[in-house]
Amino acid sequence: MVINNIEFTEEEIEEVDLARDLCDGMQVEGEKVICFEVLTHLFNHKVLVEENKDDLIKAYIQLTQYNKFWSAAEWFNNKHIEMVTSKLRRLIRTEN
Amino acid sequence: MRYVDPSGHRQCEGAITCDGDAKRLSTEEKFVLWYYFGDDSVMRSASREESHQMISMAYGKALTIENALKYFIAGVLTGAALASPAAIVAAFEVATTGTTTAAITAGAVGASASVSSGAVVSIGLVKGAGLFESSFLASSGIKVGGIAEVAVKGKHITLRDIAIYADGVNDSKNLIGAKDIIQWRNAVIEELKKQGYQTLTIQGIRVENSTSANPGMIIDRTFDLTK
Repeated sequence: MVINNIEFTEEEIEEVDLARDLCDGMQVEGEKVICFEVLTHLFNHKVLVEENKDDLIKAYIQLTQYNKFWSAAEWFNNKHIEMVTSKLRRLIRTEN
Repeated sequence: MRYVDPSGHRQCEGAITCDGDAKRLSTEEKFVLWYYFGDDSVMRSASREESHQMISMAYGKALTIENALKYFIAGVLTGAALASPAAIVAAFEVATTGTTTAAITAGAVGASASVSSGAVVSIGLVKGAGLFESSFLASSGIKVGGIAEVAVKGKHITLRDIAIYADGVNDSKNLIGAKDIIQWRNAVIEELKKQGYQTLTIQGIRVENSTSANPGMIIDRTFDLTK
């Protein structure tokens, strides 16, 4: 899938779907986890980058926290979500 | 100062031998014990191996020292569990009846070898410790599990400060994915449903070996187990 010239692979989209299941209905420090839901909407074209910058930035911040959390576990394979995070950053920056 | 370890052997602090067994702790080790336990009263019934195990936990953060203490009090910090901090978790073979623990035996390290992937290796309350432990054998052959403080109120169970671990990974990386964690979570949910719980709340999660710079997440999530 290509969004604004940035390609997301099938594996990355699948991993976002799994992470969404893992974090569905979860709050972190009182704040609802929305990052994977936002990404899913982005992949389904329900969210446009140019019209939802605030949600995308919030999603990016949550993704960095998610990555930081799992970085303590070398046994955990988080490479796809890390790649998605990097691509989301590029998406947001490209729009600026 | 004399100690009596669980095997009944007297041991003497500061002596080379006492009843054939030495119990020499360095000043640094004594400080660690004093720092974490406030005084040495809790250590009076600990054997030398148990003392050193708790110290290594404090240094290595394999488990929090609080959990190490709970395991010790629960009487499960013995035998094969002393082989390594990771083995402590693997050594638990927990059987539960309803919401109470029916039996806990140590020394079951390696028991997972006969368990097929996708199966629950152990699940239940750790007797007397106020902890809930569960583990799951992922398709990669790695055992994924977690230890949490548990609170039960009627049909509602709360797991707090879950420490997630993977056993048998050695230096291997990227062996466990979100799919495995989801399978493990679902296995826990199914077991709690069977035990008659109606809701499960998870508060706080971290990975084993997390540091103060990366302490985990203060999460809150409630599952409706009646669905």
